[in-house]
Amino acid sequence: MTLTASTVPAEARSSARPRWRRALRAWPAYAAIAPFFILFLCFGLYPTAYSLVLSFQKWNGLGAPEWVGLDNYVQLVSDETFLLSVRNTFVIFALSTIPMMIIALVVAAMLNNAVRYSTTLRIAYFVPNITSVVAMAILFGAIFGESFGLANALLNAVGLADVKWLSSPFGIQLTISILITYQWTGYNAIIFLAGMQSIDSEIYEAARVDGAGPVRSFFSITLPLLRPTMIFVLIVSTITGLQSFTEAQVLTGGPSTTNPNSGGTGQGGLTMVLYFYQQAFSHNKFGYGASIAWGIFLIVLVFVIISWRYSVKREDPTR
Amino acid sequence: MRLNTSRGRPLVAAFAAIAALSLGLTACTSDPGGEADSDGSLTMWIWPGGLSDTVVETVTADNPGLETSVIGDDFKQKLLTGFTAGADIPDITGVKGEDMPFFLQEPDLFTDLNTLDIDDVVGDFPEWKLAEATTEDGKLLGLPIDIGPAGLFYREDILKNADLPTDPDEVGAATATYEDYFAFGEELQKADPEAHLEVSAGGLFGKIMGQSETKFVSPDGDFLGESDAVRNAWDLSIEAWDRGLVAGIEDGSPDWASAVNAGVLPTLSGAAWYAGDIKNNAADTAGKWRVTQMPGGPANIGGSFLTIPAATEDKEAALKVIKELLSPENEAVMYTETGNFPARITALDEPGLHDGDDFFGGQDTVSVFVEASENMPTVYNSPLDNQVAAPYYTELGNVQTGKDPEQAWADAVAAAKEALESA
Repeated sequence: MTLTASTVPAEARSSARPRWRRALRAWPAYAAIAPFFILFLCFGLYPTAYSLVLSFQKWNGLGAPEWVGLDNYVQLVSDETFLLSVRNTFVIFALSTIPMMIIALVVAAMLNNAVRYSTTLRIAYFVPNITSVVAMAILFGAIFGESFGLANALLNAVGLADVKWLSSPFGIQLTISILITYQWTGYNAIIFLAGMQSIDSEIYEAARVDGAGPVRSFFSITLPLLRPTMIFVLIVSTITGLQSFTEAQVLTGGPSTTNPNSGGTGQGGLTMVLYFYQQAFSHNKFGYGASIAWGIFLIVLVFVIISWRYSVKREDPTR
Repeated sequence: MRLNTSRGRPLVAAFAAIAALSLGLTACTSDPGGEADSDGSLTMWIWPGGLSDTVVETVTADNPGLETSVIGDDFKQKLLTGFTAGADIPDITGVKGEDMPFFLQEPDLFTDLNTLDIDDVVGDFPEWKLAEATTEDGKLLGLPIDIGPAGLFYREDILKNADLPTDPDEVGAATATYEDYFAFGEELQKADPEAHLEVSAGGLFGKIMGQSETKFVSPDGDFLGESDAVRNAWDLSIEAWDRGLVAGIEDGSPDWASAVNAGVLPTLSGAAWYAGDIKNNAADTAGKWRVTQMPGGPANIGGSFLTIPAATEDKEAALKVIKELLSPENEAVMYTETGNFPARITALDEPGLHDGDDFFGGQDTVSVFVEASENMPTVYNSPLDNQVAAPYYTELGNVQTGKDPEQAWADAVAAAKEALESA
């Protein structure tokens, strides 16, 4: 009895104090985290929710919106241009992500073993990631110019024929992929490097004692232990890759006012997000644009779930 | 005391942060009209190069209340955002010619200039240009800043080497129709196999459509994508491509600039302001260029307006500023400074304007464009033109990479119809 008597009041006291009063007492903490959440509400959550409403409407941006129910989505699934933009996006994603992962791994392994100037080298590899994409895309536009670009001049110098970098659909996709690879390889190499440095050096020493060379160590120790890092890089690359926009917009844009944001020749550079941008902001179809944006969201979601499920399943046995 | 303040500081900071945020939030909710209107100040929005800087400075000196914001990138979108939010709408704003059909759909956002005193100036602007800013029921939403009469620019030295006529009138006569022009191009290629007449099939298509009185959508909203005008423009573009007269590069791209410099594009057709692009990208070719009339008749490409949004309080003051900005003297200054061709006809009588342009070997280029402007057709531009026209440009691009022209035409028509239906 005494035990219960002494415990009950304590419990009663804590439950009698309403939650909001506890919250009130902690208000400085809430105030401190408030800026992010208020900004997120105003510029993140609200626009997202509104775009969902907009995707059920027909609106040119000026007049009164008209409620059209699922019409935009019905149009979306049968829209060949949207399907083309999905295909373009995946081609660019594959052409950029696979080489990028491989090069980033090699760069990270080299940086990991670099004895001299390692900080300078790391900065050098990171610089493309913090350079303006627009500036780089303009520069790439000049380098990959068809008749007078540097890339074709180099190809000619070694006896190869001109490549239609920016005037054929696949050429455009290739150029965009090279730009994305150039931009993100250094960033991912730094992440891989961080992952490599967290691998215990005793494992390598043990392997060396057993007679493993550097190549064997890389494939048998570094790669398997780098798995979580690689999955992180893959997921982030998937999200950013499926949303590629700026590179395509600047490289294929030109000053054209007649057919803006159409993705260049054969619409080869028309990524999903560029198509959304064109429909909403060039053709003033804000409702349809919003439904494209939600279509993109669903596609990205599916891929993130796939990579996530895969990673969790494969990690389980080690736990 | 000291202890207290040091303990109080984080709280004060948190308060300040919240206060600043809530201020920011109220600013992003709607606040119709500017608070500055009553004290005689006026705000104006324009894009870079839309008006001459010198002219804006001169007019601001006379009207100290005038505040000009130069807004880059997607100008229409930013203006649209202002209108949608109902906040921070400028008292005077520029509207690009290609965006005017879109804004004509909502004339109530703007002041009908016919309700103001514009009688002294309106007669100075070409009727076909005013028609671009006039609603069906006769509301005039803007006064034109500049027009885009097109001409055929050509390299005199290259034509001379090919034993072709070089005098502007003679070149104009030799390229009067597109058939003449293409034959002229083949003559040119005999002497100079690298030369091309046109930049891209789509570019040529756009210029021929610019010469047409009808576009892709009728005033009643009917589909005109299979009309004779569109088919004719398509066929001529395909013919030029088939005959090897089209370079097949992107207008304004680095490739284009290199080609212009290298003399691979000895003829370039475009609006008066296109001369500015040539000058900027091929300064070394100064003195070698001339300009004459477009093959196939005059075309207008671009040309902008100044408008007064409906929310503007002191409309008279805004109109006074617009009249000053568009005075004949200022329009002449604008042309020499930016290459935007004056919309105000009286500006063309200003001294110095016909003195000749050194880049064009001292030719009086203004007279060429005046002639084009005088013969310009009045056209109807639908707000849906851009999206209905887009498939034609896309498919002409595909033809350049090997697609069968008839298949491309069928696909373009189908896609354009769908674009109109779903609009």
